[in-house]
Amino acid sequence: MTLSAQSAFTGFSCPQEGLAENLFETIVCEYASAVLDAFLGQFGAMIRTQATGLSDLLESAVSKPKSSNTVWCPALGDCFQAVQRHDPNAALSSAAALGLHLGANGISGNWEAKLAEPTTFLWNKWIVPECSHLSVENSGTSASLTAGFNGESKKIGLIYSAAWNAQGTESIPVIEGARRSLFVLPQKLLTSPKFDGLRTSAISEPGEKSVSPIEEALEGLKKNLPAYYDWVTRIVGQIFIMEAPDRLVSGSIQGQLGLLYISNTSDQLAIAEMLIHEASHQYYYLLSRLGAMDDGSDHKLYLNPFINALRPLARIVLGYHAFANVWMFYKTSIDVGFGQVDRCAHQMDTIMKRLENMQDIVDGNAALTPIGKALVEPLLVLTSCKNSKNMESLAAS
Amino acid sequence: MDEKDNIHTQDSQTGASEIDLVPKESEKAEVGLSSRRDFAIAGVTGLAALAAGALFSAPVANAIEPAAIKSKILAQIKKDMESSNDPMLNALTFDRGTVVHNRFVSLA
Repeated sequence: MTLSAQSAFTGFSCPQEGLAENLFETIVCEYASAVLDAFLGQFGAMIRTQATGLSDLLESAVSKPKSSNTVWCPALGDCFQAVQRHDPNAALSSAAALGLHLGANGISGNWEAKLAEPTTFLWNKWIVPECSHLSVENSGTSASLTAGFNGESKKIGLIYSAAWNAQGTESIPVIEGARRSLFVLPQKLLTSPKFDGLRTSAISEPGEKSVSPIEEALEGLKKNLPAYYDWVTRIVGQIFIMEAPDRLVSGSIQGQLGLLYISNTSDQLAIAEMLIHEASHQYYYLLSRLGAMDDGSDHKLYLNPFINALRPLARIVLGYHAFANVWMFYKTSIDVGFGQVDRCAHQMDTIMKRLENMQDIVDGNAALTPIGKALVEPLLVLTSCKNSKNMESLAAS
Repeated sequence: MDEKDNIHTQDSQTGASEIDLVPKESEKAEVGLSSRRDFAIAGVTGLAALAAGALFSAPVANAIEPAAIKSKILAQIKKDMESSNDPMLNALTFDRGTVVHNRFVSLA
């Protein structure tokens, strides 16, 4: 086979391919630096007038060594959307949210900001109550936050010793993972308009009853399917839980890096499926930061049978990537004895009835770029009924 | 389809070329490339082992220059900034800014 960029990025396709951590880290961190550069280029002067020290903190984040944990968060996506939409109000609140995330993850500094809209933030797992004025003093090992709103201010003291501990506020549930903590957001943190339509169904105060099943599902993956555990915990950092009686609903939200939502259920297999599905979307998004999945030469709209809607090729790839990964999850679950065989087999059959149509669209589609091929071809081999055809093709290469 | 959806296809060559992401010949031996044939065979015969964490041979990431990644990212960001209809940013979106999969599995 000709060595190409394609082979470098197949780790974004599925857990079975093995994603090189240094590649993941490089892409995330270079993307973050590029977004921050663009963000400060457009809003740096404005932020300096509205917030003291905040633009300096963001500038330092561009050049300082960092990890994906430091920068892979919804606030980074919000900053980029503010750039795209030329929205200074969103820029300021996004910068403040990112400043808090950076501060909680090793990029220290003092700053204060006056916000156009009162906003509730997070510092690690600690809630920064709704405020229109926020000041931060952060040495790296201790921090003091002052959140002001309607003439009143609330002080939060934080000490870092292996983890951030706070006085003066409350925390949200957090599921500790090997790679990154998974924060479970309560409804009151979903104040942005981007959560309209979802907010009212989100659980207001996620407690043990709704969080424990997620912990158990992740533990189940860790024990039985560690590659899938890594697949989820590498890229998912925040979650909120939706009440959706009698249905399984999960989703990712435009630009919200590492954030997803799932149904409230105690069904661990269903939770694992939703996490794997939505994590797949996050990998797709991250890889697409390097370029398009297709070259635009295929102008057709194709039926996505899972949502019964016509979609362009790139979105067919998006759907195929997620559902093929779910199919593989059920297949490997049977192989290792995770979950009931009958149920997994039924799920595989149900998914494959729809997946086959998508396979036909993406398999050998000349419009796919090397990145697009890297995403789908490993899954085609693993899931396709046409394995023999692929094998012959590979044997000839 | 809205023509804007295809804007990304027109300037995908403004960044690093694909060749920038290809390891040099001298680097190939060091990176333990997994071939598609290896993948297919392993995929057919060794799923249980894979699920337990025994993954394929190391990808080629060590041979990819961060500068090439950066160049690709900058090109993509430039394109996204110039497009009011960012197809990649919207890639997670099926309807109204969210992805909602109404599944075929009943909790009952």
